[in-house]
Amino acid sequence: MRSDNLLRRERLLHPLTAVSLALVILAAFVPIFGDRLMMNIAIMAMIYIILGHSWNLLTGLAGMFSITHALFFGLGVYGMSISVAKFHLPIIAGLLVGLLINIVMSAIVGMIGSKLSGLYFVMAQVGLSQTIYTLSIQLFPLTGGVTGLSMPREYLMDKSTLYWIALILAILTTLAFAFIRKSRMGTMFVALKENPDLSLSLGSNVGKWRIMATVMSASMASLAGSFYALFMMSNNPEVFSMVISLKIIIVVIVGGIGSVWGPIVGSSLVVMDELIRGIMPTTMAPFSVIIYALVLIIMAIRHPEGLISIGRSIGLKLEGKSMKKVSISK
Amino acid sequence: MGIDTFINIILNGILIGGVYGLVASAFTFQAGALQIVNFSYGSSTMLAMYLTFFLIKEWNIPIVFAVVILFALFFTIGWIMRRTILNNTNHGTQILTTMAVELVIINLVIIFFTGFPRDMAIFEKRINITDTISVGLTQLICFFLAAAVLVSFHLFLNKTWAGMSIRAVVQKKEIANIMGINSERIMDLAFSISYLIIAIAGIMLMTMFQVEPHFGNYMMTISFLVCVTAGIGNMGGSFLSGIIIGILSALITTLLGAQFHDPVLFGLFVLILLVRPNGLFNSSKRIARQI
Repeated sequence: MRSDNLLRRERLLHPLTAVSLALVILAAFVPIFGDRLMMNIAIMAMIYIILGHSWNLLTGLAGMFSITHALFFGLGVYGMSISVAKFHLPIIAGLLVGLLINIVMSAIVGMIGSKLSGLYFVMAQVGLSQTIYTLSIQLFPLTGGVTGLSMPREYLMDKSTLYWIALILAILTTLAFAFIRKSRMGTMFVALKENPDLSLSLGSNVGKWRIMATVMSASMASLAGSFYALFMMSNNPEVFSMVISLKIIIVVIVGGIGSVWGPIVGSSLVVMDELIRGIMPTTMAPFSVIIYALVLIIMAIRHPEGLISIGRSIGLKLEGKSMKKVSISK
Repeated sequence: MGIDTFINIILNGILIGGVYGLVASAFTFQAGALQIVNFSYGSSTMLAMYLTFFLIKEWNIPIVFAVVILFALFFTIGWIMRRTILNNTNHGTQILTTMAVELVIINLVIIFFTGFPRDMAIFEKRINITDTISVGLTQLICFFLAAAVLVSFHLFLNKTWAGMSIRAVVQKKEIANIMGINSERIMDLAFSISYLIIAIAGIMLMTMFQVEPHFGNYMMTISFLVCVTAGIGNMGGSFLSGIIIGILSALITTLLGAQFHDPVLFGLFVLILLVRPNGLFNSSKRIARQI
C-alpha cells in the first residue's frame, strides 16, 4: 500500500493533468483550423462550461437545488447590454454592473436558501425568476421589452478574439471550481449538503456559507452572461427561459454532478446539439429541445452520477474498490 | 370609481378564484399527500386547455364526447407518468424529470398546434343582480362546478374503498401493504385521479382565458401561490385561498394596472414563503425543511 502511494507520488504527470493539458492545446488549434461555424459552436460550448461550473458549485457542492439558474445568467446579460447600449458605459463597467446586480440577487436567493430548502426553495426560485422575466418584458424603456436592445457596432469583436476570451474564462472558472472544491470552504459546502443539522451543531454558520456559495456561483454565471451579451450583441427576455436553465442542468448531469470534469464532459452535448441544429431546418428547433429533455429524463433516472462515473467505475474496478453512490439532492 | 365597480371586481375575482382553487388543489394533493413534486403541472393544464379548444372548436366533436376523450387521455397520461418517471421518492430526481416533461409537452404543443394564442370566444351572458352589478353566467357555472368537484373528491377520499386505501397508503405504506392493499397500484390510481382534476380545471380555464404554450408557467406560479398560502397538503384551504388570490389579482389589475399584476403577485409569493412557509392560516410548528 505504502509503496503504491510512493509510486503515485513519483509519477511525473498525473493522468488528469495530462488530459487537461492536451485539451487546452487542442482548444488552441480551433481558431487556426476551424471556420466560423466551428468557432461559434466552440464559444457556445465554453459558455456552457462556465455556466456548468457555476451550477455545479451551487448544487453539486453546496447542495442548494438551483432550478432557475438562467436567472443569474440573464441578469449578467442585461447588466452588460443595458449599461453599454443604454448608458454608453465602457465594457468593464458593464461587467461590474452585471456582477453588482447578480450579487444583490444572489444574496436574496441565498437568504431564501438559508431559510428554506427542498421544494419550498425551488418554488421561491420559480417565483423570483417569473418576476424578473415579467419585469424584463414590462420595463420597456430600460430593457427594450420583448425585442431587447442591440449593442453599438463599435463593440463588435472578431470571432477569434471572442474565442480566446471564452477559453480563458472557461479555464479560469474550471481552476476556481477545482480550487474551491479542495479548499476548506468547499469542505464546508459539502458538509452543509450532506448533513446540515450536524454541521450546524459543530458550529458552522449555515446562512453565511449558503449565501457565500450563491454569490460565488452567481458571479461565475454573471461573467458568462456578460460575455454572451458581447457575443450575441443583443439581449432578449428568452435568456431567462427554462430552456437555458435546463440546458445548464443537463450539461452537468450528463457529465457528472459535483465533479470538476462534469461540465467539460457534458459540454460535448452542446457541441452535438449545435452541429445537428446547423444541419436541420429552423422549423425543427422544438425537436432538439425534446431530445434534450429526454436525455435529461434518462440520465436523471438511470445514471444520476453522470457519464464520468462510467470511466471512474472502470478505474476503481481495476484497483479493486467499489463506487460510492451519489444522488442529485437530498 | 364607484362602489358598484368595486363590487363587480370583487365578484369577478371570487368566481375566477374558485377555479384557481381547483387548479391548485390537484398540485396540493400531489405534493402534500402523495409526496410527488410535479413541475410539469402547469404545462399539463395548458395541454388540457389546448385539447379542449381543438376537440370542440376545430374538430367539432360534441362536448360530452370531447370531455370523455379528455378524461381518458389525462387518466392515461397520469398513469404513464407515475409508472415510468415518478416511481421514485427522491424530490430532486422528480423535479428534474418533470421539468423535462414540461419542456416535452410545450414543444409538442408548438409542433402540433403552433404557438398561436387560442380563445374560445364565448359570448358571455351577464346576470344582472342590480342595474350596475352583474356576474357572468359561464363564470358562475364554473365556480359552482369547481366547488362540486372538490366536494365530490373529498367524499371520494372519505367514503369509498379506493379513497380510504389512498389515505391509508399516504399515512403508512408498510401497514397498508400488510392489510392487503397494493400500495403501488393505489399510488398510480391516486396520481391518475389528480390528473383528472387537472383536465377538469383545464376545461374551465379555457372558457375564461386565452391560451398560448407558455401559459402553463403563469398557471403553475398561481397554483404555487395558492398552495403556499393555504399550506401544502390542505385541500379545503386551497379553495378558500384561491378565492383570496382571485380577489387580490383582480384588485391589482384594476388599481395598479395589468403590467404590475405578475411582479406584485409573485413578489408576494416569495414574501409569504419567507415569512410563513406553512401557510397563512396554519399554526403548526412543522418547519418547511421537512418537504
